[in-house]
Amino acid sequence: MNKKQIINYLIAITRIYLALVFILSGLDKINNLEAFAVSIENYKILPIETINIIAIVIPWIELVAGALLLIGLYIKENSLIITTLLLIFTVAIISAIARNLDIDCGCQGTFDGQKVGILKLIENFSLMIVGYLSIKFPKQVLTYIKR
Amino acid sequence: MNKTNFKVILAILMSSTFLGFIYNFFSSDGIDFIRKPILVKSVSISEENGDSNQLRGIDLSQAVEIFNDNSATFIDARDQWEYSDNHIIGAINIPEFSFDPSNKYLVKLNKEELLIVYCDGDDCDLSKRLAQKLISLGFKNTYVFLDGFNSWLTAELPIEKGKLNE
Repeated sequence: MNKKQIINYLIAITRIYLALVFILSGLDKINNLEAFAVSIENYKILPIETINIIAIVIPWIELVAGALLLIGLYIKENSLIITTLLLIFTVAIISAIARNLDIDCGCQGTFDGQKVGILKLIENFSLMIVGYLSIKFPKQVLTYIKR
Repeated sequence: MNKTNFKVILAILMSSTFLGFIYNFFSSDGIDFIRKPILVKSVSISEENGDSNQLRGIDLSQAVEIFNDNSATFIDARDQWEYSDNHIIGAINIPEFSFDPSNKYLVKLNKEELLIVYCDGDDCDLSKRLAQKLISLGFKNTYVFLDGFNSWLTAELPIEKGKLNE
């Protein structure tokens, strides 16, 4: 195995990790829709009327994009969706920190587990790097489906 | 390098939206499509307030009076970290987002007891949602402290930190 192949495998492993994070996150939110809606509400960014629709849709985007990314279907497109979601979540967290909101993060399936803060930001930035690598180098390595 | 196929992205987003709506429609834990703000009637506890099914709220001065009389249980509806950072002295923590009717503090409370539920302030709905749940469980003397913990802090009233109820 040459250096390039090793790099491709490493990117694929991080892609699988990213996919699993989003699948678990999506499932957790789907099982706790009201809790997720409350988490969104706590950020005090969106009009209250829009919160439930977002709470209903976002977990399924996470689950579907995560599942497709896991099996290696439309790697670039699904990585783009996931990275965009991460970017939105990160902006929300930064905004919460800037407003001194000491709240539950409500992200990535961590209800009652993580609050908004620098650690969460570092975690999100790391995942965004993984997402970016999958967008930039969407190699068909460790995939269930070959296109 | 392959170009990004935006039609595929659109298809994934639309399918996910469809699945989300379908699941929410059939799920027993489904939520309303439109979240409604909760209305609270400002009242004075010393007066008889009639319909106890109507969500009732009190202001800071009344909350202080009740606190000084030691005549109510204060309930912090925020999450465990906010509660452990700072809370009204003696308040118990029942986070709204993980509400469980068999909560160990809840089962010890008397249904006739005066309960004052609070979260950060008047733009925070956690206390209102928790109060709704408590009233539906039969805690008819539940009031929302509308000005919330922020006003308590600003008024430099008694607080304690670091006491996370296990």
